[in-house]
Amino acid sequence: MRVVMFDIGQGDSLLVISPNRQTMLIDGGNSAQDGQNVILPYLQANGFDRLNVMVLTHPDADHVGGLPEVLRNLPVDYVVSTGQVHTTQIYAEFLQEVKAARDRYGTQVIRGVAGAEIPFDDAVKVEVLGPDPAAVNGDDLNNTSVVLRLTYGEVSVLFTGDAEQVEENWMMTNKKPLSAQILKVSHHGSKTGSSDAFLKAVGAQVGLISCGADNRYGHPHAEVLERLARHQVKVYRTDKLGTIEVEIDGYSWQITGER
Amino acid sequence: MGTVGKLPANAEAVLHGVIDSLEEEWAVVVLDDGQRLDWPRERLPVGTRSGVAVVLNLETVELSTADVRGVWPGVIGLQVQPDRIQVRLGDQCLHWPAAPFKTLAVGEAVAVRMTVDEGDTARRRKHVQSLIDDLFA
Repeated sequence: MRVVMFDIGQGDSLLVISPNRQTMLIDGGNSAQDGQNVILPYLQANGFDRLNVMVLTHPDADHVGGLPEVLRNLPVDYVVSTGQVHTTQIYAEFLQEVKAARDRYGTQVIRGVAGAEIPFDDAVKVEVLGPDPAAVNGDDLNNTSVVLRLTYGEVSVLFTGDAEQVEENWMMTNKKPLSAQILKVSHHGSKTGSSDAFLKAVGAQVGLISCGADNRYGHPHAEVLERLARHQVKVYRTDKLGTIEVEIDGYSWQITGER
Repeated sequence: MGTVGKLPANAEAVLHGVIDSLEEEWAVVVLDDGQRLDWPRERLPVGTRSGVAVVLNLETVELSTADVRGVWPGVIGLQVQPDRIQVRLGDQCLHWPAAPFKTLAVGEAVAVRMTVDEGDTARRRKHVQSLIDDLFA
């Protein structure tokens, strides 16, 4: 299994390629350009002419931005989203493109809340650990991020969107296994997430952070980097390494950056 | 202490968008034309929250330092497109339709005023809710 964290600046976009070459795109970066210039060319270069699963963790523009462009250009089997209301033009455009894909290709829509089932390669176990279904109709978008745990063989990867401590705490009380060797650090390394208790529950050895170079939000925050170091999590960042690829053989992993 | 003066009202002179999220000391403003702007939190108008629709007006300025909520002073930047003017706000810039502002010169002081549009917020929520109801039926 390969996990790709695209270098799209201050935002998130990750691609999972399963052992049997099924594809799952988790978020689409900031803008149509991220779809056009980063995501679609990567898929094309690797011989993919469809996506099996597209996940929008939450509607913030730095996560949804490139997804309409991908939907316009590739058939998608399943779209996973919480169905949260948000008022930006780009999110409305995403929903309209999902509707068009449903009419054009028969794309199926799955409500992405804890316990949801996502059809994917049988070699990979997919668990939806968040959000709390009861939280989805509120205004707190980050804390209604779709959180996924993908396990291939003995290696698990936890994808957290922008989940903050509210959602982390809810997942810890929900008693589903959170352990993962590889953690997509939430919210670009913001201090609003990655609590000590959560990092302890996950027990990751690797932390992947997607963030823009010299972003004005100060992501990743120094205190989060200190927390990760304290939990002996080795950090890989897109602002330093560019696009990051993790190759997992079911027992171990290899990580490479483009620079 | 000066005041903020209004340029002539003109529908083309405004930009519409939404507060996408609040990140640290900034509000991320996503405009309908695709532009993004990080607006300082201390300059947000009262009643602003994530998901609220906002209108940005460009105004002439002899800026009142007291009049800070909802107003961000800037300057006219170099015109890089014939139909757009550039407004520099700190280290960021926005592009505005040029037609209503033909008299503004490069380097001239201006201000961008943000106002909350609750009616537009409600309209957008209704539109998105109808799309969601359709998709998740």
